[in-house]
Amino acid sequence: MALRLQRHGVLRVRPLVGGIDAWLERKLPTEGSAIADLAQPEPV
Amino acid sequence: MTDLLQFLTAHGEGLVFVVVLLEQAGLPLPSMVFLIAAGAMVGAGTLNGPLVMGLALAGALIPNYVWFVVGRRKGNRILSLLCRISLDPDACVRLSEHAFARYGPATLLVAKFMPGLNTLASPLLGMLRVGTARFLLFNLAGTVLWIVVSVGIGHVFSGQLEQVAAWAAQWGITMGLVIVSLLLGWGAFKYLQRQILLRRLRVGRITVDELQEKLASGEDVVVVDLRHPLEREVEPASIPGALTIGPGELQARQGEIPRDKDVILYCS
Repeated sequence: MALRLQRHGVLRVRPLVGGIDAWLERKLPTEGSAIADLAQPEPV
Repeated sequence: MTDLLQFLTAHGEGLVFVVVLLEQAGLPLPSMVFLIAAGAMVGAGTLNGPLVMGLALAGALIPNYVWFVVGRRKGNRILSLLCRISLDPDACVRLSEHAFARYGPATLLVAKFMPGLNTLASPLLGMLRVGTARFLLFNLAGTVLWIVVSVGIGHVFSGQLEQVAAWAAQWGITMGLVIVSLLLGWGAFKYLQRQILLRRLRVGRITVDELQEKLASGEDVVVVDLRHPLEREVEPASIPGALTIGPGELQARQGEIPRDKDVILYCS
């Protein structure tokens, strides 16, 4: 995918090592999951 | 083929069960060839037809169900593992995901005829939380179809068994060597192609720590979630602010990705 984008002129492109699994393993903030949504404060 | 026929005669229907079981468990065995040979022997009266089909059915359904349960419990990891040991991992994931996105569990009706899809079908459906009854029903139908077609082909050509055996005795080794050489050559080509691609990508990759640092410091980076919709269904969590573009949409939506910023891509 990165190479395909580079061919389309997106030159400053880098893939994330380990993908979303690596991000989740580190328990870093996310959005979109039920747990992440519950963690967000209710809009006033 | 002569050796295969002699082997099948000596070891009977039990061998069909073992070969199908091991192949469906993930070993690269040509179980369809065994089923065709067994079908020919059923036609010749050497093996018992209902027993061959019953044991082949059991040999397939047991590992299929085990993989389904493993897929349900382990999710994406099991798919990555299975694709990593395939000869063409990228094509493996694309083929499976696209087939299942389009046809759902009905893919099981043809999966056994397609080596790559066959290995992934059960764990992928488990991963996608397809109902157990639905999986068992479609898997039973697909497996019966596969066995009946394979044994049927052998049965139809059972009259030519002697000619096939004689031809195989004359040309079998040469043909075998040609096929093995082609397979080895193809495997080496795919391996080299992947190593070159990985080396090129390794140069410019970013770690989770580096990305987190950039985001925390407010650096203007664009994060793109390139997972297939099916993968996002299994794991809906994404990196905050990520632009979601499916692999199939990349061509059409690449204009949305800025050229003047650092772009970080991720998938599973």
